[in-house]
Amino acid sequence: MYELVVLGGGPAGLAAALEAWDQGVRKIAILERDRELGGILNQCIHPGFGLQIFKEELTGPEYAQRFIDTLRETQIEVVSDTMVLAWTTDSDCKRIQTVSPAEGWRQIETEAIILAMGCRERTRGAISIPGARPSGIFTAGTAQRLLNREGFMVGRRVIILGSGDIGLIMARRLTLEGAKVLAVAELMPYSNGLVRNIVQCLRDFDIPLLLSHTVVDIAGKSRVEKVVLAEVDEHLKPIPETRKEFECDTLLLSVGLIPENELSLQAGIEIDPKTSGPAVNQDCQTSQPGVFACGNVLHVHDLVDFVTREARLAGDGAARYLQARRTAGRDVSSAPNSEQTVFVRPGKNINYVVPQKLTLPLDEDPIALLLRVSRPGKDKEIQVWNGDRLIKIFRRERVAPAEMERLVLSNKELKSISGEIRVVLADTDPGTESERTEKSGGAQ
Amino acid sequence: MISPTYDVAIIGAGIVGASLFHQLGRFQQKAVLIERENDVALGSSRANSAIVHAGYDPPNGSLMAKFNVEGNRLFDTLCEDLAVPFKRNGSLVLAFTEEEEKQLEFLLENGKKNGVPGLELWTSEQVALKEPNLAKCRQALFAPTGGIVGVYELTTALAENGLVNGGDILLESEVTGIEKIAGNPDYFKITLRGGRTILSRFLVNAAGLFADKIHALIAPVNYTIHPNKGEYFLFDHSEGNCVNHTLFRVPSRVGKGVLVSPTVHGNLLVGPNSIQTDDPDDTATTGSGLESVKQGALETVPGLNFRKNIRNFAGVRARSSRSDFIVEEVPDVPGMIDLAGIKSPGLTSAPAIALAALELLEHAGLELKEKTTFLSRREQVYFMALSPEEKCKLIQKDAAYGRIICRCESITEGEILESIRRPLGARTVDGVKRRCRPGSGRCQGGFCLPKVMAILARELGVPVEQIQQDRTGSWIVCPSNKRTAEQTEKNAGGKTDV
Amino acid sequence: MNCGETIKKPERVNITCVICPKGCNISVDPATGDVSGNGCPRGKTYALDEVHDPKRIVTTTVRTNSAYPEAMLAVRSNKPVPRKMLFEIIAETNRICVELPVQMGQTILADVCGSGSDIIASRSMDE
Repeated sequence: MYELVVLGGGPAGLAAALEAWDQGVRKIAILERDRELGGILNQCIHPGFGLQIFKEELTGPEYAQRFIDTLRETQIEVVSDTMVLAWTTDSDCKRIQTVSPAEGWRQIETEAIILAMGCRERTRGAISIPGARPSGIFTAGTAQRLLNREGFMVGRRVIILGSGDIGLIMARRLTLEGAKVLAVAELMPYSNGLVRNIVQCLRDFDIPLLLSHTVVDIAGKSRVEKVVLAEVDEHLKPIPETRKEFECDTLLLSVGLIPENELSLQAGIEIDPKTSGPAVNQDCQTSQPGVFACGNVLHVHDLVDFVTREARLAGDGAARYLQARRTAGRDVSSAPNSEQTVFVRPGKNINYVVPQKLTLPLDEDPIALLLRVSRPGKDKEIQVWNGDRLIKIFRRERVAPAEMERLVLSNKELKSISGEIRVVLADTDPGTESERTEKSGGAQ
Repeated sequence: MISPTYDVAIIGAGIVGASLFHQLGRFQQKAVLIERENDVALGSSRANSAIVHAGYDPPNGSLMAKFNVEGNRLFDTLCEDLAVPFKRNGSLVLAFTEEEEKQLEFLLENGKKNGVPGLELWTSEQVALKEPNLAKCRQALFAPTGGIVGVYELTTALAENGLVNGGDILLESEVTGIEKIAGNPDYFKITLRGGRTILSRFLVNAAGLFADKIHALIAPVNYTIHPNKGEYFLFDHSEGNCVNHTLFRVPSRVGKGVLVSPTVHGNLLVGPNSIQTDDPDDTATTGSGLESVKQGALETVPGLNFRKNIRNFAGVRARSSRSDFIVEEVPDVPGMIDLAGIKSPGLTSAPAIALAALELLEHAGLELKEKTTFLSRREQVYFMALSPEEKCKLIQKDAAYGRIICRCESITEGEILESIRRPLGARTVDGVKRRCRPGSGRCQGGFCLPKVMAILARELGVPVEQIQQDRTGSWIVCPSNKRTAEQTEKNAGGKTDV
Repeated sequence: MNCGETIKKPERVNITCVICPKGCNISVDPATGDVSGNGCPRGKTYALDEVHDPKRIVTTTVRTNSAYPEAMLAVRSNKPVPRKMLFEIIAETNRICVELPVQMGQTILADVCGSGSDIIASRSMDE
């Protein structure tokens, strides 16, 4: 029986397993469905990773390699080419059903689990783009894999829908590899990508960014022949008179990511409908005691550095859970009762907050709230309330839904909290002196 | 060059043509199935509701009524024999107004006359008990024999079984000419695009959306086909249990209305609408069409979560200028049978139409002799349906069953290899998908597409760049500037791992 | 040229700073080197570079002799290269095929296209 099994060997799984190892957990396995460790970072060959964790600018593969190299110095077991089909929990242990070519179908027993399965891309169906269904329509990540891992071009003349970072980065990649990117269309009146990527991926190559535009039709009997874009009004409805036709052979979709939680749902874990990931406490523990979650399976991140930090919390949380199990004998499996739980709720103009709950008593460590605002703005403040008491204000010169905010609350600030914490976004009152102005960190 | 000679040539490898081809496999007479596309089931059979109808709505006395009820009865054995997923989940026709209630009475009577077993009228409370997510209706007609089926799997399995039993299948073979050659006996000379010809004593026109054009190649026009498009939403498995039965609205002049149904694969299907189109290949969806389907479905199931939609598609039905199915010997062309205008309930009726076609062929002079070597059974591995012990045993025998390629549907490399290596094996990414479902889940092939392409390239011994998504011309990737010709060649014979 | 037209002075160039996510809008006069709108000194250096000779880290992939479908090796330049050389450098890297194994950081192409930067492996790859 393992002490800890980590599902997924991407950035979250690697950092979580290493942290648990550092905290003294010794029987650890990482289950990876791919042949190699590193997850999605292996195809993210562009620079911009690691400014916070390593204080230097790395590419995705470099960032992953550092963790893989560290992992080689431990006795953490890596079980690759292995798919998890389901898991069950009872008070003694958790049983994970896996299948692999080498081991066949088998059941792996463990005391704790860390979920680190990552996310998947939203598809054409999710946004119901009408038109024909020829080949040549890819999600940006699939195109990225085909190009960066396998060396295939997905097309020669390309329209990209969605100005999130993957869409922007693929615009540059395809251009450098010889394709013509005709335009990047964005439904919203603002881009969801980092400024840096708009400059270095689009402006550097004179690729037009069409804000408030969407795809309204696709033509092509066998391969994409034409994509029709149109402007949208303030209700995001296409305006028919603004239709523009683009002759092209490829449409890339960069229209959002969704945590991959089908297994979590099957196992009966409570899911936050806002994040589509598990609802967790400050240790990244889910509603199932001994099951932790971190990285993009918990909520979609834009900076891998944030993933690493979160994964370390999960690894540390799992280590302490195991420690408590040893101390208490077997049974620490009961979920905390309502008096021990403080819920953290997104308030006005906040899309979500992770963790969704704090389990009392809190220890010495400060607690970071990760959140996304629901609309962009300038000169804002994010207020953290406990009942009628304003715990802290975080001032921001600018906020955007695409940029995750990280608010750190000290143990002292969280003293004597109870009931419910509410986070809201408000205009900065020029009269009030904020306690501290923080800036969210590096770009990627 | 001598043209190959057959007893029966069937034009069109949709569900109707494939059903007859399958039936002919029982006999010593030699059949050929001719298809213009690069796979079977690429016309109306690829995109429809995949419903096995009970048969209460076609007008009593019509061929549609007869074949629907007869066909429905044949599905259990057929799907069991051919290892095709099929479930009798039962269907409900919902009445929301007093007027619609009257129509339910009519459907009930009509259904009884058609010979539909087990029909019952359910009260609003009975419906609410069985279908808690529905909008409150006044009454419903329950038909226990209604079912859901894997329609590509069925068409493919029928065609494959005909092939295994000695028939031939010609893909990418568009028929451009038909002549009757007088002799003893007479022959049809069928010319294919590119000039190839084949000879056959009997000819069956099952060309679906193109049946009138095939008919016109040799006979005066006595019907026309009017393509009619229907658009759909397909939802994630998470919504598959939202309803239990196939839910119909009371039929109106334009069709059966928007239905909401679980699929045999555990998804939820919503659609279709009904749009006249000139182009039989027009399977594009439209914003307005999808919106109308959405609104129609929300009337039945108000809580439907359209954010869980994973795919939209449109299919084209082959309605004819006549109101009923056309199942007859072509006037003045002895030996040629039309199976045309097979609109809904065509899928349900197909097995019965095939039997009727056999009778017509016999009547036209075809002598059918049963063969002793007929193979009626077909096996296919559905990995996830196996017990843990069976999974272990299978992986021990072939490790490819231990590698899951499609993570949404948990489809193994073994199943994909099987779909390619079978008789009538898959040659395209969508061909694999239609046979064993990788890419049909919530990520729509985002994760498994590169892997399925690599497996296909390896199995077919061609470069990945030559792998097609679907129809000829639907290329997926092109060589990058880094891949020299030599590299592309080498890639065809790469390692067996993906 | 129309004789009546007055000769325009070179205009100020607006640059969005990407050094940090703040995204300052910096205005530069290319002629005088006057910079305004920057929130910090790093912004000034960046803006002047952007006007005169923008530089970028280049990342791409090169072929390897791996037998797996995922046969491309991710590579990068070890320092920023002039933006105007990007396509030339990519064309150069497209020509090569790397023998495995390779270690992260290993030089794949030294002083690529005379840029003064080396192309190095972004990861280790065994087979």
